[in-house]
Amino acid sequence: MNHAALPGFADAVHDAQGAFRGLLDAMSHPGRIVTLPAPRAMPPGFDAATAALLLALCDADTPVWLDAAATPGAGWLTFQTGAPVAAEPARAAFAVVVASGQMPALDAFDWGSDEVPEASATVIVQVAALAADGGWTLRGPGIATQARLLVAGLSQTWARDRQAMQAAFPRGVDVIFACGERVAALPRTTILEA
Amino acid sequence: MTDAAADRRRRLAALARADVGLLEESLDRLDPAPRYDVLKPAETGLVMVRGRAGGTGGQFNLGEMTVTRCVIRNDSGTVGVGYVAGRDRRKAELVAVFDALLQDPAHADRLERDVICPSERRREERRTQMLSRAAATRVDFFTVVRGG
Repeated sequence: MNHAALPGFADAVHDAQGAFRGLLDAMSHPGRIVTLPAPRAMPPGFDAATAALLLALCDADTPVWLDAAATPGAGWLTFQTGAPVAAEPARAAFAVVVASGQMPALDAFDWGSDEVPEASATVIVQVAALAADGGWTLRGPGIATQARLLVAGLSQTWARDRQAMQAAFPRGVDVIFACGERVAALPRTTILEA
Repeated sequence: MTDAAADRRRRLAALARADVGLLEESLDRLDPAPRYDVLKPAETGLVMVRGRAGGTGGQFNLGEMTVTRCVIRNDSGTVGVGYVAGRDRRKAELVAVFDALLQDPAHADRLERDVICPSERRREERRTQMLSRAAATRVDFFTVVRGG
């Protein structure tokens, strides 16, 4: 079976726009769980939302780093989006982490610079479960008072690693959690209280 | 390039230049009708056409042309691609369907005869016609060599 030859969105334009709109909603309201339009097929190991995000966001100008568990999706990614696969996490505009427990430390990715913080990486982490009650308490732009987000499947040190990144603002990475067809975002502006 | 790849390239060129009516007719004649799944729906974009002056000169951009492409997979799992000049989305899909069929030895010979050959023949006829029209207006310049 050739994993590259899989169809993308049923309606390439509107589904990609729908996924983008959904992500915009999730990014502007950190912790909010949003359902994205699902592609017709996904590479092995990919959740629908992970694949939808890549179809909506990637193109030839965005090198994508794939973790070991996401590597079978490399052919599909190139076929559908034309995005080059980056060998190093530090050289990628987007990163896909399918094995969330073995995710590299956040400082392995590109944090941008103080002059161009927007040149940083966006990390898509596929997780075992997402819930809007329990777990972390989030504060910051886009959140009226506080939001809750429960993410299952991350390593013990992940939250501490993320809190350490806050000191480097405006440098840092934006994280999108994907689970099934749903996503929640943790942009660098959000203050995470474990 | 392997022979198979060269052959596929030649067939794709013939399919891309074929009349869309010929492709539709040939598809209708196929029994059973090929079943396929569209992996990448036909999309239109621009391709930069490059040239090289005099065959040895530096490469330059001649200009952009409109190209429509499509990728399909038929029910035996073969992937076919279609690239055609212009914006004919249906033609790009038909070319992709025939590209997939032509990779199957069971269909290749018959389709080569019914689709590829007529298309190549028509192109050759058109070329000869154009050359003969141009040849009729040909003027030979020569310089008289003096003091030779």
